[in-house]
Amino acid sequence: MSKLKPLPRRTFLKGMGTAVALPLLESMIPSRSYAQGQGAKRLAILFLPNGVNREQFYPGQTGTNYTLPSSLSSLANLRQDFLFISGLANPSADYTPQDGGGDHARSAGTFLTNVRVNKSESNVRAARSFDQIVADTLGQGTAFRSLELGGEGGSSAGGCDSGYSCAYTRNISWASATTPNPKEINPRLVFDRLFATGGQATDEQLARRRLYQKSILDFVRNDTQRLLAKVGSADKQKLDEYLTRVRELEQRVENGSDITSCQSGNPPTNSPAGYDQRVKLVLDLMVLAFQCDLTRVITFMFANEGSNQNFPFIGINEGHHDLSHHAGNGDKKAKLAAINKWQVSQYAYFIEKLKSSSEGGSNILDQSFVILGGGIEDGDTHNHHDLPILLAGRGGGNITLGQHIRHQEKPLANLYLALASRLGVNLTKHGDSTGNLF
Amino acid sequence: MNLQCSVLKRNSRSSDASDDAVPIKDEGVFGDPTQESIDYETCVPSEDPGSVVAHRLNKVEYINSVRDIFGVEPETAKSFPPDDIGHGFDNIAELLSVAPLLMEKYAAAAEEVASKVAGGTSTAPTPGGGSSSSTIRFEAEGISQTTGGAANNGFWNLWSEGEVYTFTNVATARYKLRARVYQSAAGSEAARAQITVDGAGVHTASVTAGQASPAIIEAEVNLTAGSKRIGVSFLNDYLDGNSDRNLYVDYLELVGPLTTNLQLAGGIASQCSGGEDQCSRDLTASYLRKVYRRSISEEEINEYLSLYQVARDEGDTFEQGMAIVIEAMLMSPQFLFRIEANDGTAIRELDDFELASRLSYFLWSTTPDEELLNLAEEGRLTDPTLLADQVRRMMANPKAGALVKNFAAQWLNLRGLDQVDRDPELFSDFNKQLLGDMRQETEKVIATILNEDRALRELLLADFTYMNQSLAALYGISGAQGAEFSRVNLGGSNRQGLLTQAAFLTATSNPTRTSPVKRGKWIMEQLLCTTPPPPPPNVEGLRDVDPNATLKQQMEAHRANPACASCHKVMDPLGFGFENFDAIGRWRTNDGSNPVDPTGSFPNGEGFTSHQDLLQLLVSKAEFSHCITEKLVTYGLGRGVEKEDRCLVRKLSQDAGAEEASFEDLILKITASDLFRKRRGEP
Repeated sequence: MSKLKPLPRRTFLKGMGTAVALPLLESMIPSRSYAQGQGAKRLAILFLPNGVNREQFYPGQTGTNYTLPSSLSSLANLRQDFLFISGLANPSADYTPQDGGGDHARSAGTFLTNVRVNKSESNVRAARSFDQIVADTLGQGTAFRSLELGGEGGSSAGGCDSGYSCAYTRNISWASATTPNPKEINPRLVFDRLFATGGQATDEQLARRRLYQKSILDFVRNDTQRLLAKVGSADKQKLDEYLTRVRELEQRVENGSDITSCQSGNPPTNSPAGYDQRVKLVLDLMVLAFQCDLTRVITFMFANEGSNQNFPFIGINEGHHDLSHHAGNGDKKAKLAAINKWQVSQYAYFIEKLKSSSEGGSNILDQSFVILGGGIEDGDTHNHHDLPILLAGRGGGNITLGQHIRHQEKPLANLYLALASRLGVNLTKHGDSTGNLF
Repeated sequence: MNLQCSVLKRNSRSSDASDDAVPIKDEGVFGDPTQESIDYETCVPSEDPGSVVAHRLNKVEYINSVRDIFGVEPETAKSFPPDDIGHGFDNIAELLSVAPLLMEKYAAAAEEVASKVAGGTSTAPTPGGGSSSSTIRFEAEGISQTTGGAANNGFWNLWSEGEVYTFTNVATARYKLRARVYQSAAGSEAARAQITVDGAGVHTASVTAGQASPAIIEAEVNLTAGSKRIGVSFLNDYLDGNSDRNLYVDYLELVGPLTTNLQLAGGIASQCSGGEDQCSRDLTASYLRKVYRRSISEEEINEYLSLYQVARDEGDTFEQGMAIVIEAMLMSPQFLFRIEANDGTAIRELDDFELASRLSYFLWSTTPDEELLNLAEEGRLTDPTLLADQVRRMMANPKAGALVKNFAAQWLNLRGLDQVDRDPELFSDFNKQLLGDMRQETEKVIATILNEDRALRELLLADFTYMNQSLAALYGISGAQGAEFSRVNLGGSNRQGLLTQAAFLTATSNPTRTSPVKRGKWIMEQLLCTTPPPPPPNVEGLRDVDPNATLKQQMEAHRANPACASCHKVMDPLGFGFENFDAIGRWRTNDGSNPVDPTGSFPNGEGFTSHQDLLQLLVSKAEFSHCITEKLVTYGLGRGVEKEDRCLVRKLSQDAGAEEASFEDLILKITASDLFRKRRGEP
């Protein structure tokens, strides 16, 4: 990553409280939005909870001449930039008599891990997720190995889904089998994290600060290692993980990637009023993060799996999950289709922005893969056999987009193997994969 | 929100029908099937306290601990990601992992706090953070309060005798404390406001100023270095009918130091005496003991001082050196995790310090205070009598309000209320402000049951509540005016206890209508600790039912399917018993054009004719007090209650007095039990 005058990220955002109201992308355009990561490959995954209304989401025909279903209408001008892939399944999410209910937890919990997750309120066990494996390769040297973002937080209490911990319904990205990656949902916090800058620090001050950070982390690492000798196996696992975190921080300090070189404009206001506004701002920030090459891997959950979010901005006051159990009711299905249409329009907005971000002789979209997909096909049945999956971008390679490809129940993980190889990530087996999809 | 869907349809290939039978082993409460069968008459409590892995401090615990140890508010911590929830709570040890995002924020928070405390780097000004005098303003609505609620224009309304307060670091110096206040006049005297330091009054003033022109009250005090609790309290509450005297507080300011007679100029140095070497050692020792929640060794102090020396060797200041020490403390796993020493797989008594931490995080959601640490150091906390005394002391302390905010708010799903929405066409009364009022009502009732040591049965049967005008209008009950809450007697009304309060009734409804199934399921899970078995596969949902039938008739049709009936036959009557309350808690006798039928019966033959009947029935069940005990144990230990624990949990509940027990009775039993006082090691 090339650097201009480095600015410390380590400051408190004094004076930033007086932000302009709801700036959209235009007012947040970075001062250097060009070619920060020329040639870099990137991955973004946008997750849809609760399944979709299939009738208005899945194309009726395969090939290039399919009729665009009404929920996808906002993609009309982007037809040549994405694939509709049907027939992908996530067998690890399937119902078993032993695991019983909990399809929402399994939908999100397995979406990128592709393993059967442990049914427990507290003993969570999944696997390192696909995005994190990609980040191991693509995330080296960027300020953030990966970003985990979303449109809905996690403050609800009580159970989440039939004996599964809320960790499964709220996260799709997993740092390890036992540690989900929580997501940021407040655009202001995302902005602060990406672009926090304070007063100008001299090189000498920065060097000294770095020395102190190293000393502190060195101290903490030793402290943790000594403790490891004194604890039992379960605690040891926790402290081992903490040690990994310490080492990751050390790595960041070491290679200076805790310093951003990409300056942005005004931050968003602290908490935009509506869900739709919040989602839009987070998508804008995702575009910026790619433009500034602050990260190359992003996951975004429109909402938690099983979310009962409502959509008053498109006239829908019922909860999404309640509607998803449509039981064939026409009114509910129409509303679900409207929700899907809005979600797809956000995806269209995002990939359009990436497409118009030129980078070298190409654009960011062409260098990237951007998935829109969910782990349930229809919220009324909770099945996981024919998932709604859209793939945009070419990952810097040659892929014929602009068509609907139907598979016969191939594992979703097979798609991930295909993407990995095109992103230059060595991955020959992921979860329940059986081979490379293409 | 619970997602266990009542309506499921699966592809036939997704499961093997021959294996699909739902295991029904027992006829539990109300004759519903339960998944575990324990004969509580004959069972023998396990002697195994179970194993609890190291707790990472959750977000609330981190913020509270930092505030109590260092006297500063860790702003960065407010953006920590939410902690994962299991067993209904966000303090479950197994789930408290450290994701990369959290680690990044730990580092930022440590730097922020260290810099505020040491004053060695320039961020926000801290009192005593330099030789020059400064004014720090604490907005009343933004700091701690023992009573009251937010009022207009950023004022806090102390509507009963109580205090707004905060903790802040001061130097040894003279300061001015200042507050902006007004009263609502009632009775024969003016409101009396008192400025306090560490809980003791330093100045009392009569406040005659009204809302139109608030008054400033102020006092000068000599303070000694350290973290001080400063506040404004209201001394003479008065309420007679609609005549209500309250004290409204806008802010509290700390001005100073006014005089600087300090041995070392400014910052953290002003908190100690002696030369730099002595001072850095004393400060490190004093903080580290609190940060590690135990006594510490010379060697440990020396290790931290080596970090101090790194900065000094660079030619940096004393303050910067101390800032690095504090930053490292806040990144230490010995602060971030509550680690109990391991001794193979043996079962052992917790040591005094481990017990102090368990107690403190259970009852206060924060780090042990001086008294707990001192007792632990003397090796006396493990004494059963003294332990019980400490529990009583802690329960009487305002910090025990954490049980309402963290335990009860999660147990009763009050936190989930934030996300509730209603169809504005159907519920024009509904708005976010009203949601906040609903939550406050339930929190206040629980706080009262806790503070007044009332019996658990009052959770469901209490004949009082707290209302403001909006809630009174919603309930159609008179007796509350304005935005402020007042205690209202419910005798003769349709309401009593939590299940008739809008918070519960709203949280368990859908945006457009009530959901008797959600209400019933909530009661089973949260009040009876009975988890309905998961719905069997291959169940057709509510299709092809007569659209003109009432919801109750539709559900009855649903139950005609034996696969559905297994759990709905208990879940549904529980929920339909509250159908007189609509989706935002308003009383109704009709649902649309159909009259509400609040009667019901259970598989075991018990029945009820009204929600009052049903409440009596619920309270009489051993499962009710057992369940609260189980929830408290889950929260107190930070782990799920397993089948092996249930016999002991039931015994604790019965020994405490079942539904006649108070929260304190229960907590005394729990904290005296092996579950709380012992641990089993890991290999």
